[in-house]
Amino acid sequence: MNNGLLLFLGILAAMMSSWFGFVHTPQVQFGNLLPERDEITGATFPSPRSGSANRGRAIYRENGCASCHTQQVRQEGYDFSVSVSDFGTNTVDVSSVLAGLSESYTQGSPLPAVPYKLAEGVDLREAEQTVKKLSNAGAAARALISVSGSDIERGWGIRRTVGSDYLLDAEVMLGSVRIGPDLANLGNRNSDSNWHYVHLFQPRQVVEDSVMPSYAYLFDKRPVNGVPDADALRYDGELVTDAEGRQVIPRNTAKDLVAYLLSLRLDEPVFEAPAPEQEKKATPSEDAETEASPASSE
Amino acid sequence: MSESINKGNESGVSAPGGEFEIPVEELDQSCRTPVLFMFYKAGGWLVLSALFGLLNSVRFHAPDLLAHCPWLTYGRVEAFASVAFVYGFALQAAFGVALWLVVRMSRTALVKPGFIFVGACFWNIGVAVGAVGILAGDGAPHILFELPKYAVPILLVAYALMAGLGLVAFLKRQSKELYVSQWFLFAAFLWFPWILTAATLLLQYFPVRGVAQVAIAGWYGTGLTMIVLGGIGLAILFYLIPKLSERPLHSRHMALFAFWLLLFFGNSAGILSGSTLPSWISGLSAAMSFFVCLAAALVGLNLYHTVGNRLSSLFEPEFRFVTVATVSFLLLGLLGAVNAMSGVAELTQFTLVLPALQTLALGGFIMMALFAGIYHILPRILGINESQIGAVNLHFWLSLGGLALTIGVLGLGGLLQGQTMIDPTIPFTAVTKSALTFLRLETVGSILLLAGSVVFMVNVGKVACRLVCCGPKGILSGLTGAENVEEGSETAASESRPRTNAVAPKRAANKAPKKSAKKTTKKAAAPKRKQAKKAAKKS
Repeated sequence: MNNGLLLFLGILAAMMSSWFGFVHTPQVQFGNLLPERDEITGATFPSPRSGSANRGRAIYRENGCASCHTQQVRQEGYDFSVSVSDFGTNTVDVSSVLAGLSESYTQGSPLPAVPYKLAEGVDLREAEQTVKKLSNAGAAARALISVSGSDIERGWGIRRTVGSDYLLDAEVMLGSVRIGPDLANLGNRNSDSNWHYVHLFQPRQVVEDSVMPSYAYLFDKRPVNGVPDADALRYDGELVTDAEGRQVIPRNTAKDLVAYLLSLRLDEPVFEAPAPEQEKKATPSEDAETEASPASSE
Repeated sequence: MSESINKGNESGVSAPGGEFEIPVEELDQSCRTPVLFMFYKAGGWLVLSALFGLLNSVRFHAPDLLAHCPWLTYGRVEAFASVAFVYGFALQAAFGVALWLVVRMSRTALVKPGFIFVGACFWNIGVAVGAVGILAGDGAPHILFELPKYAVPILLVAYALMAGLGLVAFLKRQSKELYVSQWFLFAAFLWFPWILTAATLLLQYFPVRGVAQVAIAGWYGTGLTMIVLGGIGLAILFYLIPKLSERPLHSRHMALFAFWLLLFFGNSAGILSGSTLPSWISGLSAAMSFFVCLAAALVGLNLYHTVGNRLSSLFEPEFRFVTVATVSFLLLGLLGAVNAMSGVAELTQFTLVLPALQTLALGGFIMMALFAGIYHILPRILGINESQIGAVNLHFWLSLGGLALTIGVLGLGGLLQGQTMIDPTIPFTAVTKSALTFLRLETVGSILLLAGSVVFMVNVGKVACRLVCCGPKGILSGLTGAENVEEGSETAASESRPRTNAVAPKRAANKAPKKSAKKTTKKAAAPKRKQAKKAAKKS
């Protein structure tokens, strides 16, 4: 390799190939995605943020919040189960089919209460076959999808995040390290704006072991003259004060930031990542409980 | 074949004087002022970066620190430290080392070093503007690409000045043979403006929509680490290891294969940040990590055979930085491939393993390689003895200790964090708590790194003072061209300069028992230098 020109051409080829693979192709594949509009409801996906939330996104970027928080949810895979909403009138056939499908049910015993879930944790094919068998016997059944993965089970989301979730953001801040929790669905987990104000002002007041720095500069501190201001921070009914006993009032930047945090909701159903949203609302099962409990921790 | 390569590479020590027109001292002289300036400034940025890194590390002990100061929030300080390290220290020092290497290996003096000096000034202005911009809240949210958009054009102008003149030196090369280091330097110098321009345009000026930004930022980050900084780092290793062990490079073909592997696969290996991107990106990127691992193995094997039976010399003072850099590079290749495996990736994703690997790449490999290069270059461009550069040993041990502690602690903490994070029954506060111990331990590493960088800055500052103390003539001759050979000559001190006469015998006595081999080469080179001096005086 003593020929400078040859070397140059080789380097150029390497440069082009990496450009083609990791800049051009992604751009073609998902760089041109557009927000979608639902013709019937008139809603757009992803739903646009308010002006205040958009200003808050700039504050999130300025302060480099993404160096500790991700905004992306992983999932391992899908499980399927079958839910029976109505056993129909042909109890004899349904009973025999059900006995073949479910171990806990013996043929001839009275049919269980609806909605009845069976065949949990199977793949799509098996779930569809089960549904078919039940439908043939006259029962109304359908396959349910459920998403697995530690992030989902922590309640950080109901499905994995996909590229089209971020179409409306001028800068995408997925983050790469979770020193703090994931925030992709923060608005769904905790929509109490007062909690967020107090948490920003003094994280350890609301989460005991939090390592998050205090962002006290987002707040005005004023001495209390008689009655505290109406928008002074309160937590558990008590006035939040700084070290000098002054009341704490969120500035506009804090309001914008909290508006942004509350606007973080990546739960709309998308084609590429189906979510068990509809079914969950219909059948509040143990899944919903596990989702709620970690959310309260932070 | 390899012997002729060696001649090209070793030209500084053993090439016969008649082969090339310009003597080595004149080459060194031509790039002295800008290169020294870059090293000095790089040292300053390194200290700043370490200082800010320490500040953020202390935050894990006292999270309410500086809560009332909007300019110093955790995220801004983190981005500032990163920019100061990557753009202020690493790239700047890399350009300095690269310029010297280009000049030495091309056997042409640098033309218009004054322009390079101006370029370096612009570079520092650009980095300063960018770093202050980040503190003011204009930073971009991408790892290794935190620069505000108005800082990048300044950097590109500065780069054009520096690299353009470096390219001129490369194109005017006297040696026909292109040595391995020259390939890597050439690739790095072409690559950098390309990826920086592309990333700036596509992320800042005409931002692409959605997560394509993340793919591009990842592409830029790995390209910057693996091809630009990594390429210059490897150029240093391929230059210094044959030179220090006084043996020719083992295999040029092996190096060539590794070069193309790195070039074609290095830019895209390890973009794993995210399940949100289509899975083919992380899949392809993971596959490429294995090729990079192969390239690293080839480089390691090649350099191992080059050192040959002189393995014990790897722990000698002048070899130490090179050894650590090489081992880090091999580890980086290996761990990169391990981290790309699907089972491991799920565990390490979003954990402190990521900063640990980044520290291994930027600190263990690139920073140590740059130190090795700088400590090799400084005595040569200043015409002083290696032992005259202050506390190199102290610097080495502080840096090594700091790096080992930081990488080890972050890596272990990351693994623990990953293990607890994938278990949804463990609440997230407990996950953070498990990582917190390690994050707090890392403070010790940060302190060591800060101390190391201060020692480095003092080392460079002291020799830089020498240049300034030489009077305006010294600086001027460094800027306007290479005319004054006596100043730069390595052995001139003991012969002609009265000012350093007092030091010279002591120095010789210090060196004599330890480095007899080196002395003989110097003796052999001495007549050549005298010749050069005469020639210069005549002209």
